[in-house]
Amino acid sequence: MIESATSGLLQVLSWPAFGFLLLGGAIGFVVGILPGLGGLTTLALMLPFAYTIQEPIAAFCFLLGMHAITGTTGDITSILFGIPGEGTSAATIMDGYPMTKKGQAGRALGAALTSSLVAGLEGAIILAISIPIMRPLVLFFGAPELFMLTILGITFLATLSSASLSKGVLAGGIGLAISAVGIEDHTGTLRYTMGTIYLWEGLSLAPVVVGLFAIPEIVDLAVRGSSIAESKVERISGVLEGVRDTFRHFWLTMRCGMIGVMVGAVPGVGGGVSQWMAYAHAVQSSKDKKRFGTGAVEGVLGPGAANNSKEGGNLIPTVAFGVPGTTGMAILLGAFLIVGLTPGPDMLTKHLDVTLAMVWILVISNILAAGVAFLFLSQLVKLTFVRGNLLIPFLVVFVFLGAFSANNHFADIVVACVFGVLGYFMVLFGWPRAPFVLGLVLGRLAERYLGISLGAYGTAWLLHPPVLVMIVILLGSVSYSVYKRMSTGSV
Amino acid sequence: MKWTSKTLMFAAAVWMLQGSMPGSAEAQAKPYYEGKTILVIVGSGPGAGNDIRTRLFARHAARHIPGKPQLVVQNRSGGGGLRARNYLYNIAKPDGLTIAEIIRGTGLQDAIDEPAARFKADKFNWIGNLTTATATCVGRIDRVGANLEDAIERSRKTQLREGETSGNSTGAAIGKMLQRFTGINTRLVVGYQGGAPIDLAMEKGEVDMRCGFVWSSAKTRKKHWFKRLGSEKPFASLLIQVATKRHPELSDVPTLIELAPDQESKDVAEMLTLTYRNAYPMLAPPGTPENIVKILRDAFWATVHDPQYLADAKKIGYLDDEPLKGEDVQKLIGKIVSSPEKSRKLMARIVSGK
Repeated sequence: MIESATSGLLQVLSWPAFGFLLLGGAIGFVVGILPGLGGLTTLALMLPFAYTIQEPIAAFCFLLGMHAITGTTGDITSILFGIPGEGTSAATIMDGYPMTKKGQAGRALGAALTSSLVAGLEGAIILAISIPIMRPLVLFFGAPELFMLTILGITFLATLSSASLSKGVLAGGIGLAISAVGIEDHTGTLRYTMGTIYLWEGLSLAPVVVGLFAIPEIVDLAVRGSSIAESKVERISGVLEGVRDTFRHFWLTMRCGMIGVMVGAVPGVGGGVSQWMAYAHAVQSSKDKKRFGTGAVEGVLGPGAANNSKEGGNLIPTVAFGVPGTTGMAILLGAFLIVGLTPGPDMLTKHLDVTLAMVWILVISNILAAGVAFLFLSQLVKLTFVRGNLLIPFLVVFVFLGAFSANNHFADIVVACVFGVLGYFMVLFGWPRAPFVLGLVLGRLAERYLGISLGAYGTAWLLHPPVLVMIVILLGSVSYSVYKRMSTGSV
Repeated sequence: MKWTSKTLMFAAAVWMLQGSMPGSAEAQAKPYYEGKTILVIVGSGPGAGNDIRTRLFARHAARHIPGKPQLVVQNRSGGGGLRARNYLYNIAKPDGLTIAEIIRGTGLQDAIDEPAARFKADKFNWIGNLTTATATCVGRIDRVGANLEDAIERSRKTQLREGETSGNSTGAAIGKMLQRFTGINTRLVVGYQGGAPIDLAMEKGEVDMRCGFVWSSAKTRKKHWFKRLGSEKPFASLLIQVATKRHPELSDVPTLIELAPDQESKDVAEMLTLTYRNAYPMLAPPGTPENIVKILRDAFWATVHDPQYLADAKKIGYLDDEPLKGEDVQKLIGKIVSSPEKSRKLMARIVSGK
């Protein structure tokens, strides 16, 4: 193992592999930071270069390096402008953007990038450690266990409803109901598709979150007539404060990083879920939940950590079984085949050096991304002090490009507008938006895993030992939470 | 013949129109595609198998099109390819500058009168089929035994669970036909997000078998599953294949058509088999000028025989069975949509599960 790890590192650092890592990283940086340039489309566009590169590790340096950095930098626009750089980096908006409005953009960016770096390294280390148990680990989680995990995620709805439990749960319920839009798997029944093929696959996350979060903020910016940052309270030293925040809340960062790895390792869950679950965990584990949504740095650290560590988790089923966890990994799976590798048992034995080289690529690209981003932070933060009416035209373009990049469909823009109006009224009447998104991302998964569990095992899955353990944990935590809220009268 | 002013005006209009049409004599003076860009629409998302195939094709095709245009690939996923089909048929200009690669099912959707299908499959201009696919049904050896007979026998004692993406997928349709033709006792477990997650579910023991498993992908990704591919500890066995004739490597595995008990069953099995045969087709909008279609068809055929393309395709295991010429795909689609009405209705019932 040590021999393969050393060999992997040397191959990554050798020329031209390292040059490809730098090139891929530079492309990933630009794509991640600009909303509207879809990271996935760019990755698909760059995939054919693997034919030219041919050498497996050099090809992965280019593609995986690009993919990892896109995730890291996607948080930057979420924090600065309230516009997610990627559909998966929306949860950072919740507290990152309010921090920017308070003039603490530097601190928020410092926290997001450092937590992203720390958790990215954690994800890479977990990926390396889990190599010997990778296959049994993935095989252990069947549909019943995954269903229980989604139910656990759904219980976070209550956590994210700190202002009003009833409004939060209702918003989550609406999110769950909207997740039902599309083709029903069992019978092929079209649900709430309103006669349009666009809705057959359900609503894409990117236009929904872009509309829900970015449009109300742009309207607010227009109404206020000022810059995004309402007060100039910090200089670039705030960035260092954000770095310190990561180490002040080190275990929160590590736990959220772990959530990213675990959720990332489940095929088909998608990148959006891990960030929201990490955010919910950050809220849940805080003593003062009321600070969240108004600019709590823990609300940036949690999703920032999960956003990057999930890549390590995603690689587990991709490498061990050839089952990609996300669309990004599906494209990378294509690269495996192009360079003549077959994901599966061989990647953990014969080609172990390649697998460990991927770990190194994640580590090095995360360090590079954070380093380069820190160099530009002071310039980026200045944008938040620019007059709103000068920024708004650019932000509107980014919003619609970001939405459109989901399916290259005009309806993406319509969806963003519809959810923009909904988001505006939710803000106006004090309805939390986070439970709504959590309901939306988890509803479809819960339905899918329940359907598979019932189809495969009938009701016998309820007696699977891991399921029983999870039921006990769930009942315990929900009862405790209800008891606590009733005793403080905050229901 | 009397030359009236109307006749002269008509002749002038025809002459002017011809001059502006792609493929006219003037346009042929320099290659029509010179300095132009061809948009290649893929009916699936980035990273899907046919997306990778199309990007591979686009990478090599320009060399074979006179004028060496640029080829730009764009994903338009949705509705199992319906969105791309409807776009290509109703909106895309028939000027040869928009073509598409849309996974199998165009003919089948038209034949079963899919309500959302806004196209006539045989009116498209079919450019060619990147490769045919031999689909199979496979099962865990410990659950289904060594072959179909074993599986039927074992299913009488314990119902077999078949994993599929959805109840109306083509894989599920194969399973339902198999059940209908042989009496094998299976039930569907659906909701998986593609073939690879179903394979994983088989390894977990969540399901016992799956249908629609393309044999060529077994050779690239699942060699360790099959004895015939050299595995010492085989995990899976093959039950049937969906092909017009037995694949040379699967000569002991019956085809779906062979198992059909009557003519009506044979017809529906053939519709499904032809659908898999036309697995990765490329097509152009209806009304595309004939000379442009010919350029595209010739370029397609030259590309799929280009040694550089073949070398790249071999690397990713995409040298499956055989490519098909556009003219052959056109005939094949015609055959699917003109299947007897009774068979088309039966197929609609099988696909919809009603």
